Amino acid sequence: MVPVNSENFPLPVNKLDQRRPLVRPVVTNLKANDLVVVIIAVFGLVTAAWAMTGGWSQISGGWSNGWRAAASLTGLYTSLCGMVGLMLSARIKTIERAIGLDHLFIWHRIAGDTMGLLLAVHIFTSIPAEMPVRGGFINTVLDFTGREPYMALTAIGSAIVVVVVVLSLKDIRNKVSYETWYFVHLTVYFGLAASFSHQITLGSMLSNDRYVRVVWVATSAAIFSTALFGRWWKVFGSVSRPLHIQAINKETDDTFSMLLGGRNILRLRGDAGQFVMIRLLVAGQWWKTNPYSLSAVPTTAGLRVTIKDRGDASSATRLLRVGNRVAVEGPYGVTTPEIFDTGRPLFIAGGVGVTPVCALLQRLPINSRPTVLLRARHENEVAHLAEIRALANRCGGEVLVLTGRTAALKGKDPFSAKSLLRTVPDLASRVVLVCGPTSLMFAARKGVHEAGVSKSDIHMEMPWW
Amino acid sequence: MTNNNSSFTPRLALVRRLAPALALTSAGMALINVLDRPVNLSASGTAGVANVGDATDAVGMGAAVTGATVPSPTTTQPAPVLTTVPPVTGAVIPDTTPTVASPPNTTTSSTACGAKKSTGSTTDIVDRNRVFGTLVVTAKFASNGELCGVAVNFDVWDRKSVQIEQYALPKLNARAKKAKSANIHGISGATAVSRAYATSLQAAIDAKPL
Repeated sequence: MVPVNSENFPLPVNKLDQRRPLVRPVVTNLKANDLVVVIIAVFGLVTAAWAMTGGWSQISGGWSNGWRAAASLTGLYTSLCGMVGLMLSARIKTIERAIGLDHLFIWHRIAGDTMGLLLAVHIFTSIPAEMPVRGGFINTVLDFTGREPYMALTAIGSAIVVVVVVLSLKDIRNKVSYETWYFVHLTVYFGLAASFSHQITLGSMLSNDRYVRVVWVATSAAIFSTALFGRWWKVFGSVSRPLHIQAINKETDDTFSMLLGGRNILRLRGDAGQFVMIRLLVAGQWWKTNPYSLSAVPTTAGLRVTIKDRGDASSATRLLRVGNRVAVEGPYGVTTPEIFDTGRPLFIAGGVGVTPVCALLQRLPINSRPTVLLRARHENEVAHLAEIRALANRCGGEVLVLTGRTAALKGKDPFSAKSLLRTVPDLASRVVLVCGPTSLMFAARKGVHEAGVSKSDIHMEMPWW
Repeated sequence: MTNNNSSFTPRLALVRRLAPALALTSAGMALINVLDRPVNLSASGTAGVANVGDATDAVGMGAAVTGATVPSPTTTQPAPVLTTVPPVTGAVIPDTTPTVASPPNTTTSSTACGAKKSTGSTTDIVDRNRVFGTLVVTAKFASNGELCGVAVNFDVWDRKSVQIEQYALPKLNARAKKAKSANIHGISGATAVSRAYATSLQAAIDAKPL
């Protein structure tokens, strides 16, 4: 008989009592290039299926069937772009870990824009393709907007897709508020679903070949449900198991930090340098989400986020009280401490962009000797400055703060390669993290790159909005 | 913190931001309801059978398609139509409405066309191993034995084929009437139908009653 050893039966202790970092995010070997290869392969596969089910005879038979061939091919590609976009919007964990949420959104936008272009080509090639059979332009248009079964659905569905794509063009999108754009963007589910049926009834590749049809319908259904349920299940999970505000702390005149904790934090995995999507579950705010960087290593004690009071959502956070519920999605982001394994860290941060710097410094090894360049109008405006100084000193690094208005710099660009090299002589061997306002990020990236740092050693969250 | 303000304005903000999306969705749904008028082929959907009279017939698809209730060709239709149409409807859908009063085709002998009729073979409409449906041609001959009119009965299984049929068959009928034989050019975009039509019409001509 095995003697009962008390060590085999440890007392159940409250996991939250032992303050420790959260479990690290999953690691993946997937690279952006792999995804590109997969996407190209899918397009090639579909093209091959199209060619084998009659497409080849269309294009090899001369120009008379050219319209039809163009219409069916662009239709298939439109649909594929929609699927790729949907797939990306599901924020699948592995893909997010591979390319980061920022690039996920950028790819999503590329897929969407391409879909819009292809859709236009599809519409304007399918009309001449069908005109001989349907008796002229007018009859074809009437058929395609309602007389052909499922085509009323398709016409309205594609109109909605067009509206969504056009509204997402940067110039137009910047004229409306984020939430207006977002809610209109959601109607694309309806648009895509409505325009699906005509692929089966009119697409000759799908209506002629049973096996191709089965595979196509199954794939579409799988991707649509992945996007719909995968995405909204996470939203539902974040709302149904929210974190609670443990503490609110004023950092500077216009920034404050809050600690989000509670037992639900145990279901999150995250690391320094990442960011979370926050939905404040208070009256009037529950329908908005905003991204915030973690300003400390996430632990079981909570996630600390530092927020600048500027936008409508941020100003509302002043109304927050300890104990309020906050739905958190994420953490997302690929600028975790591992990026500094290959070289000495250099941080360039401006404004509230110091938050991930503060978190990453906590996770750097003691001999890493980081350099932190901060840009602000006044030292008082830098949140967590004392903390950053202490952390940098601990690792043998230094903190340089460039203060003053940009106008007062008298045309000298602090982020030109020359001035950066004067400040950091070994710049070329550094691994650089840039964060802050968009203009600062791009200016700094340009200067650092010109100073000889390769693009793969410059890390920043691309602005996706 | 001013409670009164914060509890009121944000709700309006949500409505204001939600409004465009809701308007888009509901306008889309309403438009679909307005636009969605698929060509009414058969009331029950089981038959899918339609007649095409010859191209010169005043009564085209609409009257003959309804299937469930064969239109009584008495009151509303003008007289010249009466002489040509009843044989068509009577001949083509006898099985669906067996109890219908015997069509007055006995009275049509006065006109030259339709004195003799013969029905061709039921032919599959085939293209590249895919069968779209079947088609039967009924040829009408004048008393001198000349081909003078054609009626077609087709049964196809998808709506796109029905549209191709509606487009192609009147033209084929007109061509056959003009050529007075089954030796006619096909219609581009309706190759399979043209082929089946020629086959069935040839069979009908071969079986011409003496």
